[in-house]
Amino acid sequence: MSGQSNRLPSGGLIDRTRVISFTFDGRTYSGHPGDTLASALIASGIHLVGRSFKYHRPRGIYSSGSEEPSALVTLGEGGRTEPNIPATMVEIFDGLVARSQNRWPSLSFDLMAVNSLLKPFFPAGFYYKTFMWPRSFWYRLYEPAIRRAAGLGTVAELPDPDSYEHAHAHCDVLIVGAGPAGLMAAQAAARAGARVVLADERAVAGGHLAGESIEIDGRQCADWAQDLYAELSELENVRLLPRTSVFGRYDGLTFGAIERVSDHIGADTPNLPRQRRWTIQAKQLICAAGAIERPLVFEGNDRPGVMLARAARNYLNQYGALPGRNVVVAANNDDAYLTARDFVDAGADVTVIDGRPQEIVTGSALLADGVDVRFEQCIAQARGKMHVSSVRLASVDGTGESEIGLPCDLVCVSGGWNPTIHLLSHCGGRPRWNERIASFTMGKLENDVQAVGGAAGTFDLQKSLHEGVAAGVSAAKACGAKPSRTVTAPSVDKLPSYGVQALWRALDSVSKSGAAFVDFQNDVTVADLEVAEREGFGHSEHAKRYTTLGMATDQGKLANVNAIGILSELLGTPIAETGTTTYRPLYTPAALGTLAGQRQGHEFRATRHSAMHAWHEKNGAVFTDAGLWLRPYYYPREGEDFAAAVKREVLNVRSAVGMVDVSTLGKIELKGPDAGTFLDRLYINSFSKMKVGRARYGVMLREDGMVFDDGTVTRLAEDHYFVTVTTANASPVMQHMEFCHQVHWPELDVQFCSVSEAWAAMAVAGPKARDTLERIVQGIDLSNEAFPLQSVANAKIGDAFVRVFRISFSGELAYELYTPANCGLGVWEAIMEAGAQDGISAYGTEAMTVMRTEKGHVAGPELDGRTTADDLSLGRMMSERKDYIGRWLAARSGLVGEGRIQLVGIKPVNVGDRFRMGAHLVNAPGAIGPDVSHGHVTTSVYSPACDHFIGLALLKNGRNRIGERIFVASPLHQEIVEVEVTHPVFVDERGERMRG
Amino acid sequence: MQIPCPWCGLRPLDEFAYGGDATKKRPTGKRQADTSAWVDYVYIHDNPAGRHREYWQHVGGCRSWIVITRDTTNHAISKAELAPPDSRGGRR
Amino acid sequence: MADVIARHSALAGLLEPGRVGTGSGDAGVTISECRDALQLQLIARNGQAGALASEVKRHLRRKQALSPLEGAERDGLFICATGPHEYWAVADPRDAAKSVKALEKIAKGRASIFDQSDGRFLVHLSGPKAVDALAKGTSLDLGGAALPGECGVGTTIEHIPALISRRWLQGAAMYEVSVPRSYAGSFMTWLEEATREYGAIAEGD
Repeated sequence: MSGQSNRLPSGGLIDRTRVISFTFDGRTYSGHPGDTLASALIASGIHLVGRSFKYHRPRGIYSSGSEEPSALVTLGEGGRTEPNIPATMVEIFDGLVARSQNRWPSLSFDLMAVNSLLKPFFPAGFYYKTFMWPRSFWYRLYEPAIRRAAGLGTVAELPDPDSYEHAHAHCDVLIVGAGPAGLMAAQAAARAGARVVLADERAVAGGHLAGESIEIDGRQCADWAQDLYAELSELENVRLLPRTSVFGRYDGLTFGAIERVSDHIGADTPNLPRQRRWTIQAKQLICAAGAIERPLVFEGNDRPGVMLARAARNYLNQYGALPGRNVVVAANNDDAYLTARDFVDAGADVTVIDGRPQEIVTGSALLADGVDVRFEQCIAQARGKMHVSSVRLASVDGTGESEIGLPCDLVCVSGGWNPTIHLLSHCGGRPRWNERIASFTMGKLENDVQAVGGAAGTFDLQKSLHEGVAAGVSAAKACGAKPSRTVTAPSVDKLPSYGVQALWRALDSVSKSGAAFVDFQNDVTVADLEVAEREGFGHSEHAKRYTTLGMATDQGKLANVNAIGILSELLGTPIAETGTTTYRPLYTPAALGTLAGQRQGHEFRATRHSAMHAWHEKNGAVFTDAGLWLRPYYYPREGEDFAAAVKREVLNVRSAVGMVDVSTLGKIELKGPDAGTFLDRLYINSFSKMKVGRARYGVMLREDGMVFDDGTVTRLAEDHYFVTVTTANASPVMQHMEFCHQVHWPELDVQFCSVSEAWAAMAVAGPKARDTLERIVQGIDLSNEAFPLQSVANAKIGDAFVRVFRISFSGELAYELYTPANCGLGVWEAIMEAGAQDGISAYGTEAMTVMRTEKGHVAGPELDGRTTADDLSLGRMMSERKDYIGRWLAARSGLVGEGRIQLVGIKPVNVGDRFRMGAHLVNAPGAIGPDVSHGHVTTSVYSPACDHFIGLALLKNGRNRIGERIFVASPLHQEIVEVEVTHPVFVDERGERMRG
Repeated sequence: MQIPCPWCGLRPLDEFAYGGDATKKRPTGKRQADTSAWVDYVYIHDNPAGRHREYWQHVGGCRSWIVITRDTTNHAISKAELAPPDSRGGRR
Repeated sequence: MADVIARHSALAGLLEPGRVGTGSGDAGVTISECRDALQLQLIARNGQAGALASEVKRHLRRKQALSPLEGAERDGLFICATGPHEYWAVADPRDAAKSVKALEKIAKGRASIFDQSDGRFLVHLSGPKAVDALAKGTSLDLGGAALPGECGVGTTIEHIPALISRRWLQGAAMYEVSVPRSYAGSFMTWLEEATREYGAIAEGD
């Protein structure tokens, strides 16, 4: 167990009374609650934490936040393995296991570092220019090798055992960022009575104040922030979301956010999800997301031991961890002097390298006399192998070196601050160059959106606090709140002004551009940007894609603005014209599991079960998906495979009696004096004159004349109809009916609703169907004379209400029974019992498909949205005496006549042959080309009655080609089968069985 | 994104189903026999960059069909009324 | 052959009295099934929406007609205005007969009635964490002031269609969730996960 060699004896927001033990690359270290993995490693003197993506250069910890580009680790094991996690965002817990990435065999001795030597072969875009010959070698050798050599972490290959969830939150004011401005905005808005949500990606509130040594109202700023946060947590109208990244802003002030619920807990938390995705609906947004510091660009600026200036003092102040004792602070602004001051106070040796002329510098006033400050100088190179050991300095104008080797073990860099404007830009606003702060801010924001503090380009703490208060009040007022108490911002001692002067890079004359990194994570250097500009890809949108700058998991948070500055210098155009790329969600990476929430695996969609589902399960049904429904496909018995089971089920129906669950059909009930008229306008055939107690097949068209759906329409009473539609079209037909009634014909007095769920339904079919049902159905005479085809009547089975229909899909003598869903299972069981002596058995959807195909009934595969009623030989049903939807467009000349594909049957010439659904019909074997298809096979099944395969097909001019021999071709499967064109009905052509 | 249902209030987009262009008039009376009037109604739809009137149904709520005026460039919804506007049969 | 056909509720086997799911600790959510509840849909006849609204108001003995989504109860019958032409009515099975009569009187000449009782199951959620649990499935703002105190709203719970009514029992809010019966399994899976964090208890009849 390593000691914490760089832990300061006191200070920080860590709990020094408890010690946590964790491992990194197999070695055990200790830290305290409140530490991140990064801070605990720094406290133990560890800086080397990774190897870079392409060149495998040693890398250290660059920042202390989610913008971290280099210190990426892999956490967890097995199915919980998660790569590319910034060590700066990992809260340590006992037993945490972390591993560095992209190195072999070890971090300190990485063989792949040889890539560094081969760097000249791997400039930006190298794969457009090299590794191209021979062509086949690219896929077989070069690409896999390159892919293996580059990269970051490796994903888990086991299922993720953790659970995730979604949740919704509503508020008046959403405040993103619990830094000084955000905290004041939250306090002001909450006190005014608004409903507030305050989200921050960190666990500890205060934003940058958690790591500063500044006084607010006479107290340490970190304490001030914690106290204010605690006060907010007591308010009922405030919801605090720490550890929550607001990753995206969407239209209408809808936000996506991810809360890390139990990642930091470490112990088993079976009742908590690992992470939670929030959908937050707000009326006002206050973006207080602060700003991110940008690095300086010079040769070797990626060495471990080089880090952002504020991050360095953050480790000091928030975590009591000392990143170095011999410190160089290099900057182009006054904010970095706080770092110099804090390190001097911690007892380090500090040298400040300021790129600006002394006259404009105000930060040096923070420093005691005797601290070495050099002006108009910059770092030309950071030297060292596994860690920085010295820096070479030069004058800012590149005219010469001023110091060959200043020894150091920590280089704190600050190239300025970039307001975190991502959320403000997600809905399309373009950032604008702000000369005063040498960075980008947003122009005019939309109504209901405000930016405060760093996110607005305000780097003065006192001003940020005031902005927060003002924004909170105005946001609350905009939501109708009436502020009664005033909130005043606390006072802060005057700090040095920002005073930034742009310094995009150390010039080529003193600093090797090939080792001056702009995007650390994707290993993009100044030299790469120079190549891009030289080759005509100098605009920022082009340079991004050409060099991959800004495209890594950190999305260029430390790279983008520096790149734009460098490109503008290379192009010789002002920054305002160089442009910026667009910000899009997600702000930081999210686990797929979190985005999915509960909707994974079996719960990806809801599953719908009929009332008889338990019976099907118990009796061995194999299920198939019908939309969200599970329907029995077939019921295999001992030793039966699919084909055997289906054959048995079909033969049983055609010779005895079978029963199938048809509860999934869409059912619509219509009432009102105009119900019949309404149906007349929807269907091609007429129902307003149908007799009460009758049921009839109906076909519905779309407005464009294509067949939409078919079903059964039943008249239960003068003003009362009952309609069934196909399972797949239940929702679309309902929507269609609602549209027609509400939009086209609101004058019709008809009321209707879906009753699909209210009724369980079963079809009993076969020559013995009547015998079975006569035993238990009471109240109606089921004889053929009293109850012919297309009859409907109310009856009872036991004490259950049953509506009995005489309709047949199978072509056999058949009845459909509808009973209230609560009775479904009981009625089903009663029928099975009553039919036992007749040999009743259940049959599934495949048997149903076989039988309807044998009878030439069209179903889904034929109603594919491209066929007309006439194509399907249903043209005779189209009424000439009424108007109905689709009537006129169905009559278009292109939809009628010989050129149309028409419904036919097909059977193989060689009895043992089979053919596929979807295969095409051609005149000759081997026919190839775009126009050779005469149609396609829509349904293909083995027919027990015929003892060979049969099919339904759509064939050009099919009705005039009965008896012809053609070929069914499936070039993908290299199958070709000769078939004969037949009538679509294969069994009982005159339909005598169902009329018996 | 949210859509303001005239009955239920502001509700998330995924509770609604899109129903197409609401600016076309369905051919009635004499125009019905004119195929080109139907072709125009069913197939010819403008796709403006800017304000557009379109149908949405609140399928996840009250199941009302609504006419929405939406700016297609920024999704701002300026109007939402029960369909058809001004002649919803039966309201008090 | 049995004279009495067994009835099977959609939640049979899915909601047993006792702890729901693996949550422990104090129950933040209490769940119970209202079995065999009467659930009816009233849709106004043409030109009768106003008359229907007045009749509903008169039955409920209110000064104002129900505003959109608002609901109210009288004599065990809860009626809410779920759509511009539509009301949803729920009654305890013990009050079924008189509730049906009351609705027929309200609807006569003014509306068509559709019985949805068999097609949907009804659960009651109450307790300090009921709203938080529901917020994991529906985007309705049940915690705010946007919805009427007593209301009935069509919505979705993780893409499962649901009608959520807010009722008040002895000063505490009770959420009545009506879901098409075929979704029972998926709904219970969702409910167990949504309440796991808070602890949930199912109460028997």
